[in-house]
Amino acid sequence: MIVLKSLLAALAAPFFGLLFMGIGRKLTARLQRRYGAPFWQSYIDVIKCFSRHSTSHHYIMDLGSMMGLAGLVAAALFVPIAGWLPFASGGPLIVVLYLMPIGYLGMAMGVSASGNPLAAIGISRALTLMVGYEVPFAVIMLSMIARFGSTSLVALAAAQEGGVAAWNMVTMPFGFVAALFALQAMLAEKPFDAMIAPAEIASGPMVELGGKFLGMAFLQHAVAIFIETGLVANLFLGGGANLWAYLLKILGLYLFTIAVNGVYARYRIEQATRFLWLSAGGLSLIQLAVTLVS
Amino acid sequence: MIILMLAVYAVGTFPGLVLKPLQAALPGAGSALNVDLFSIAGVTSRVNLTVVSLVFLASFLGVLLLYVIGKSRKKVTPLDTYTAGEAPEDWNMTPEQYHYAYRFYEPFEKMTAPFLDGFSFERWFGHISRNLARLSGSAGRWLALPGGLLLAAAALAGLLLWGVLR
Repeated sequence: MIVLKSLLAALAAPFFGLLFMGIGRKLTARLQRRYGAPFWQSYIDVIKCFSRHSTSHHYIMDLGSMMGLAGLVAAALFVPIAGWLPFASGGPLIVVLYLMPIGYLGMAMGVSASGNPLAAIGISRALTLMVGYEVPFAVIMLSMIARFGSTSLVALAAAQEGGVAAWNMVTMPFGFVAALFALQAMLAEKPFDAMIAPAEIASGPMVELGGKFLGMAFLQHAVAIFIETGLVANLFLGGGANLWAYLLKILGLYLFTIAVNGVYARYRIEQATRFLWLSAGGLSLIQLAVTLVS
Repeated sequence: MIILMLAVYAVGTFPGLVLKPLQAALPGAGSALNVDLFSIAGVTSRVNLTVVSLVFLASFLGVLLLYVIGKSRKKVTPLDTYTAGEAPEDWNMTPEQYHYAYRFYEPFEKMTAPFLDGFSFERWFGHISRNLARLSGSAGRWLALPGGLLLAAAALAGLLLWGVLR
């Protein structure tokens, strides 16, 4: 039974992630006064990618791509979906934050196998940005520990029961804004998309990916959307009373990042890091100080 | 390397292998560790590392299945790239300069540059080392004075006596 539940959770992450990607693409198109692709286009893209032949520069490229997706799928199984987990783990936040970088490191390992300098530039930017957003997120985690004395996502979501006024979004506003900044960077949406920058470095890490490798990169992004919005929903929006409320919350968070992406220009990588450390980091430190004092 | 890798994997999957002996020893040092063969309990949560390893392994097998299902791939050389395949030597650059670790901390250096304006670590360390050299020179000259060695021995004896009588 646990295996079936785990399989269901593992499939839910890419399924809903791709659905949200499709809706996000539609929203971006409407913001830019275009008609846009249908919302199911992301599913078609992935199926098409897996049905095409591809090239690999080294077996490390194969291994890195698989490792990246596996790390994120594993992380997804520890993020509670409306308080539900496939097995008893309590959703330890530390484990999720430990498994998530496997995705980025796997991709770094995979694309570094090719000799394409644009891929290497993209990866160096992605890893630099990771240092940028992990600092404020770690401080937010400290605030949560200081206030609730737990790192269990299930316990943290349960502690916010009692309506919107009890949500951490309201009771910990500085932390919430810092988390939104970090979320924007985690999802590599503008203004934090220097690692992809299609017109400048030809999509960076994705430049050499084709066929099933590109398909796995699509799936990786889809799972990342599900995990990262889910983290913010569990930490600040009270998780979800039921599946639909939870999905609505994470969709809302994702569409917010997409709307920001639609109207903002791109930061250079040092500007992005400075912003994340000073603005998001500053807000998260204020939140930590307020939590410790109160 | 494989043996070392397996050892690391075993310790990561079964943390009790190394932490259980520590668990027995730590109460003597006034601290405590709550650990069994599979999991570690901290102040804020309990993590079963065996489950984490199994979940990652199962996820990897699932992705491997997906990889096998996908259409086959052709192996090409690292420099047989889709775009930007030009030799970097054309712009007086070497392949090393394109490695992702090359000047990895440049953004941080740029970021901290305004705060460190006019401040040089080299100058700072030079200043410290010069003062240390002056201090040790002074101490050496002081010891070379008549009776200096006797005074130093008396000071050391006083310190030792203070340590014993305290």
